[in-house]
Amino acid sequence: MWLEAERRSRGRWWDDIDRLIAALPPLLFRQIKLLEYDLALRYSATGQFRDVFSGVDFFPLLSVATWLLDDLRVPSNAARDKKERHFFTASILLAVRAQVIDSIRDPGGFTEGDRIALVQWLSDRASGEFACVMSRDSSFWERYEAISLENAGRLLQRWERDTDTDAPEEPEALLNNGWSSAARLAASAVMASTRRDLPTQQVLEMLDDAAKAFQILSDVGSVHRHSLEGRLSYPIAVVARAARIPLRPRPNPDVILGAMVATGSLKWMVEAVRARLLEARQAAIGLALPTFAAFLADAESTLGQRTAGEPSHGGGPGQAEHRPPLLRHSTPVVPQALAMAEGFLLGDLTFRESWEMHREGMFGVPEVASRFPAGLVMEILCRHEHDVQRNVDEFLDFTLSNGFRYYDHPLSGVDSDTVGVFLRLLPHATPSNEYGEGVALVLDCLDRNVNESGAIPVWITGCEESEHDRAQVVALGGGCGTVAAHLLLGLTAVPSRRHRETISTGARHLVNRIAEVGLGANVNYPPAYALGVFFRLLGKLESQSLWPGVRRRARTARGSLSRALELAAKTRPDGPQDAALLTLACYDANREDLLDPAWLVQVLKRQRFDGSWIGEPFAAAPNRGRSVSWYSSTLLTTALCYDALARGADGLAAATD
Amino acid sequence: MDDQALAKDPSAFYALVGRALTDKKFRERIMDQDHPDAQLLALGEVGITGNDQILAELNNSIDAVNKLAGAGGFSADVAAVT
Repeated sequence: MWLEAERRSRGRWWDDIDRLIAALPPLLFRQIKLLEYDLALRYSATGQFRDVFSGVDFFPLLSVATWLLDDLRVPSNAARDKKERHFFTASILLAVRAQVIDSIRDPGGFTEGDRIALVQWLSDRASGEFACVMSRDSSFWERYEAISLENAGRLLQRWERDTDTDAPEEPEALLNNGWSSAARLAASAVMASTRRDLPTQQVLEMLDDAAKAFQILSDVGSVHRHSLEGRLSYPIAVVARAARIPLRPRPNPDVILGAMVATGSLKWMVEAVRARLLEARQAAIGLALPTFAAFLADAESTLGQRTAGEPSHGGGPGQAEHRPPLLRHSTPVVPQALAMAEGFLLGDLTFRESWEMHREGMFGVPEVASRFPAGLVMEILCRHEHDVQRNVDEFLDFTLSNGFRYYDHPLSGVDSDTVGVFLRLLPHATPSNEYGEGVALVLDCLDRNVNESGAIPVWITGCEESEHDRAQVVALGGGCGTVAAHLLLGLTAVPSRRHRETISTGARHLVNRIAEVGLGANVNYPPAYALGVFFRLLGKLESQSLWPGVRRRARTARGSLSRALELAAKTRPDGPQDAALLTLACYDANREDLLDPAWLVQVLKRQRFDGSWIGEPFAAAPNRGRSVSWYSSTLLTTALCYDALARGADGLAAATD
Repeated sequence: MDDQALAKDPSAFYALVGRALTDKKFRERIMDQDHPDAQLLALGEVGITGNDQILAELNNSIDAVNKLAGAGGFSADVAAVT
């Protein structure tokens, strides 16, 4: 009987839902479309949105109004149709809202805080649906206010519990995923609009019991995922209490799973579900609500099959059905994200997508390119011990044959970024390769430049006679301390004392500059990236015994940069690349105390299914002759996000060892 | 770690049982009839000195794990494809 009513109401009202969603403006439509799939994958036996919350394995959130109208024997007519349609629509809007809110809290998912407009629309529209039926002076609105306030209060408590280290861990307080309040709102509307002589409060309590029973089941199913993500849930709190395991810091997922089995908590929770279902069924019988009673009886009997792992039966024609397992095995998100990123980064070992390609006619030719960013990508891959030696060899061979010019054109200048990345990659090249003479020429040239100016230049001049032909070219980006730091990091990586004076002079100039202007010493790169590079260099300089004067000034520079880092850590990063760069800067500064776990969540939430992150602005680059626009590369942004995730995962592992 | 230490902090024991639930090969290894010492070795790896009581507890837990896993009660969720 309940199944027939469930199918009937969906058959009649679902087209309204389709129409409502189709009419949304593009951005909201895009957001709600993903939520449809989220709901369908979690709470539908067929994986179809149309089937969410249907069947005996799921809380019948969308059927509450119809079943109640049936059980109250409200006759079929236009007035009932109107109520049923609006209450059904309101129920689905509230179900979607509950899912958005839960998804935002899910660090392993892809839903971000930008869904706030969607939450507002769902709330407004749901109350609008109720208002289409309920008069202004209906008692419903008092219940609406009370349930909404209670829901908001519990939601806030739960949100704070995720971050508040001192919050009490009462398992019951964690049973508020929005299903109960949505069901109670729909039921309150039906009760107020039909004015039947039935104690509304008891009906709502019956629904609350049923909703909580299904939430326990759902949360038990997700206990592995939640514990992997460090989230609290009812089962985790129950297990921790039974096993006397502290919840701060969050226990290892294996400990939670093992304790759940060894202490018998799993059985206890299944029994708790059964008891709630039984209580709800008895209440439904007492209230003369036969459809609810029948559904709850079936849910009770199915619980036994589910705990025994028996498959579900039935399913519509051509549609597979699956019964959710009692416990779902989850893949840890960070290792999966890292493997996906590695797949993307190693997919094309020319790293061509990262090349800074110019087709605006630079140097009077249709196409020129700088391979410098590919060097940065390879440097990150080498840091994480990927075998890209052959590609490093090719990169170094090309750089040498191109005379250390930034672009692959004879009119391009020789630059410190290119020389720096060459030197830093040198230890990762095939040892037998000979680069000595070519490097010596450019470094001799650099020595002369530094000797003359007292600083590391961005563009290294005087290396070749043809430079006078470059009169028509304006070289940009001069005076960038990050470029100087790039080169100094390269020079300090080479075990030679020949350029000691250049390092000393260049480093002295740079640390003085940083001590004076802090992050203002950077010109060309994102500030958080420059912070990481500067801290890395300072770390090297401070550990060297060769330049005591520089070392002293380096400490002053570190103080200035630390203030900038502390300030940056207080603001929300502007996208995944920024979050990654800030994470890396904290590690390079040895300031893990500033790391915010939300940064890596921000990175994880924007990974695409091919393992990449969309390219974000990284450096200013010339465009169409006399303009400048941002260079961005999906490969480079992915490499930076990968670097941050990998180092973050290492840090996490070290902290829990 | 002996009986008393284990009673004070059973986390290592729980972690072992949890790993048996998530890692099928590990579960098979410690239940290998041909290698009766496998359980003692596994306990030793997490710093627990096995004795009859601990082994009995482990066997009870692994039995529950086997029932759960064998009945499909701990399986990967369906993957979405389009």
